[in-house]
Amino acid sequence: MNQITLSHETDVDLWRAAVRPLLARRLPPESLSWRVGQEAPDLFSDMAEPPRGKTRLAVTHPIRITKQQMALCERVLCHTDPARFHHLYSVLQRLQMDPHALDDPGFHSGKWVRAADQSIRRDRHKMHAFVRFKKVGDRPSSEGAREVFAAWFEPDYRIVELTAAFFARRFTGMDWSILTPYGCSHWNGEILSFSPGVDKTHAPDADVLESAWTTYYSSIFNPSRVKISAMMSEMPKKYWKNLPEASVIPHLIQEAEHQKSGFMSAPETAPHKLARKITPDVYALRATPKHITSWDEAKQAAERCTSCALHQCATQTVFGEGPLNADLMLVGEQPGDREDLTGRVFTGPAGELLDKALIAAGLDRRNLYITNAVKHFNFAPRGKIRLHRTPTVDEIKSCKYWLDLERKFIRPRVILALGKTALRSLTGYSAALNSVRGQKISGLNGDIILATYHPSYLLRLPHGQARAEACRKFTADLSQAQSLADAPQMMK
Amino acid sequence: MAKTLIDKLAVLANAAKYDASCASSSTTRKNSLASGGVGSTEGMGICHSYAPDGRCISLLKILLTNFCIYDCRYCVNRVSSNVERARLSVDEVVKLTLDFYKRNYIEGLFLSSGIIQSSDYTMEQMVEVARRLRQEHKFRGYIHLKTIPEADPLLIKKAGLLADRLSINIELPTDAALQNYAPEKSTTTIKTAMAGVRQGIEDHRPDRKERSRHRPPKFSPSGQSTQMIVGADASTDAEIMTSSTTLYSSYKLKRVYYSAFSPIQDASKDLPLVKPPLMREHRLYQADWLLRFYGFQTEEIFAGRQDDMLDLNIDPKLSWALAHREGFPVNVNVATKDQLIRVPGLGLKSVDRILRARRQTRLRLADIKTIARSVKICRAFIETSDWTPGSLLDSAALRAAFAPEPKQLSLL
Repeated sequence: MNQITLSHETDVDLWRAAVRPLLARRLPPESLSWRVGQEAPDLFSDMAEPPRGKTRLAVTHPIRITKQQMALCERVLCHTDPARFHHLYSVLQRLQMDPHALDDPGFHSGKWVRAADQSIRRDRHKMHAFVRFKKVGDRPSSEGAREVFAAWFEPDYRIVELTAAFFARRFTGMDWSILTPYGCSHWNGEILSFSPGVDKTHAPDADVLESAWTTYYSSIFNPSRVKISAMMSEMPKKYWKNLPEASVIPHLIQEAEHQKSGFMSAPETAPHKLARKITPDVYALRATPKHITSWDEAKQAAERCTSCALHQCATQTVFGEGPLNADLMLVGEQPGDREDLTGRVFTGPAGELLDKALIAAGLDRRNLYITNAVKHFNFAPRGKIRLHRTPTVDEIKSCKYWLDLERKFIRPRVILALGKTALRSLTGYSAALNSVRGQKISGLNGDIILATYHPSYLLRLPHGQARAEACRKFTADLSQAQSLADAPQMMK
Repeated sequence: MAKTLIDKLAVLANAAKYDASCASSSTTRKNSLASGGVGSTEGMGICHSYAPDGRCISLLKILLTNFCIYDCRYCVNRVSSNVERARLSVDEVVKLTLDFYKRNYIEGLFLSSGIIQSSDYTMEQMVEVARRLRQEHKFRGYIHLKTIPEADPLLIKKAGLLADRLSINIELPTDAALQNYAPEKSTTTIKTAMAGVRQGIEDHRPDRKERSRHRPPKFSPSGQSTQMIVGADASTDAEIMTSSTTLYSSYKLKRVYYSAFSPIQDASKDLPLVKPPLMREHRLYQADWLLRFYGFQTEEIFAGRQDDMLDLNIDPKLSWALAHREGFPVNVNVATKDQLIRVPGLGLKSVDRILRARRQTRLRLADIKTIARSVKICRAFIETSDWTPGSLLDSAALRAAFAPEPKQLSLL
């Protein structure tokens, strides 16, 4: 029988030093007996001292304990059951052979350790949540007075050391002590220290802020949603005695019924007098011009367009932009994800490609009027992303109204349709793009319509010959459109 | 008579309680060890207390003021309401937050406000609270700012650099409902503001391609969320979920909160002054989870529902499984993860444990009992090495076995 003696209940260092050589020798858990500090030694007490330090033993097996496993052991050591040493050792021993042993639902010690770990984590979490500091004074220091706080708490397990670092990280700027029956932790801004447990008589007195806190607690409670079981499961009664707000719970529950029926039967009151003094800016009534006489009015009216269903899902209308006297107008399909967010045309990946092509063709984007055939983003939501959907014929038709207005106010000499949707909207053609690319189509207003690829189409092509060729054509089309727009005025 | 701080606190907390969100998790890890101030956030948020309504109290949830120039009919603070009004100064909010925080009452601040003077003025005040906490008091706790969508985008940018989370309430699921109930608000303005927050978050992410050491300052590291009121208007559950799906995909929201409309003080009489539809709210959250974590699509959830409403008696996953029995039973020893997560009674954690446990041993029903939340529900849909549901799965009475007993309507 090997006897291991730990200096105190949560002696992680000594436990760890003792366990490693035992594991290395693959000693069975049954052959070990564990004891802590002052307990009366049993018959074989002097047989084995805990192997510590550099004592060289006949190491026959390598030991592997991961960081997570060590953290688990540290937590489970805080348990109050003396059997924890046995179970932890059994688990560690099996983990040496089988790193997934804890997943085995039939492994008794594994189950015990997992359940213990769960209760300790819960206890730790509740301690983080339910410790209530009370201010007990101020301490002068070199950087001015430091506030001094103390708290009394009764955890289920020996978790004072386990939780102390958390409180130090959080309450660095104040002095505090947490007193519990299992031990106390103290922080002075620099050093974390521990002292033996104390009894409840040492608990600090009430704090002046407690009435404000209780007021807050009572006011944030919604009496028409009483659900006591949910409160009890998360904040069991055992914690209530140390929570200042818990004293008002019975009263709140009692009041709730009364208050609720009061709301429902109260007579309707006249609107408050302030309501008459404030003229509301009612969104729904903001004037929309009946007859649109300028580009600005068209843009404003389009912002509130509801003529198709697309406005329900999209963020905003993305209207065209550019100089109002532009000779060349580019028409794309519809705004994409990025455009929908920014509210501006061609600002996404397709826009980047367009910008590059414009530079290659020697065009200045600032001289062009750029818009889309459809002004709202049409998409299908898939989890956290939005998949582009080609606009339907109806959507193109109803949005044509805005495109026509843009044509009317800009009066470009040349319109370059980017992709099939734009071509369809401008001319009604639904032919394959390649069959009309490069041809001049006369518009009704005497403008010239040309068609080319949409930049997104180029993005979708796989890198290589085909894409390079299509990009070259695209750039050529841009140049052609520009030279037509620059050509001597024939009829405008 | 001038109100004391406690009086104001009571009025302004009372006005804030209809905001459902109290989350303080999933932000960046930060602590005070280096700065010597107070405050930390470490991944998981902490609920410091629970009110008898079963909801957690994690943040000091408070309005800067409950005066408001808007007249949203569902809101307790609308201009035409006769509720008691109060206003806290920036200093008062800052001091209250720190005092509560130092006593470990709260995880941080959730600041909201009625609109006074103008949207910009109000937003400036809220940003100033966050700025003082962060910069003058070295506060590292959680700050959630309820952003005013009509405010200047530059103020929202400032807010994002100080707060852990920004949220903008969508309020009601459809544009039409919003125009009806909140005439001064517009869905477009709200969505555009959400789009701005999403862009802010994305613009402040370190560029993975550029392997520079440069780390831009964090912008709303805990993301953005929104809230929808359920039961004030006539929207169906399907409309609500469709709206959420759009919001999640468009603005990468962390959460959509559903808030069952509960009777408010001095309410306008065209609102349903009945008990808040808590079960409906609960089912919506369950459906929301199915969409986000269980790979369901909105259309699937509402496929068999005639009235576009979720079944109040059983959860949406069970409801779906009962309508799709041909896909069951699923053998827990061989099924894929995607099949397992669709089994009623098995959650993501249980499925994860099943997948790990079955590498160790062939699973029996007794093993599932220790793993699953409710073996009573899931056993009708699974096979183990010693169990098969047999005719139980096809039984017409299966639904009745899960639904609560029908109750006689009470006369009140």
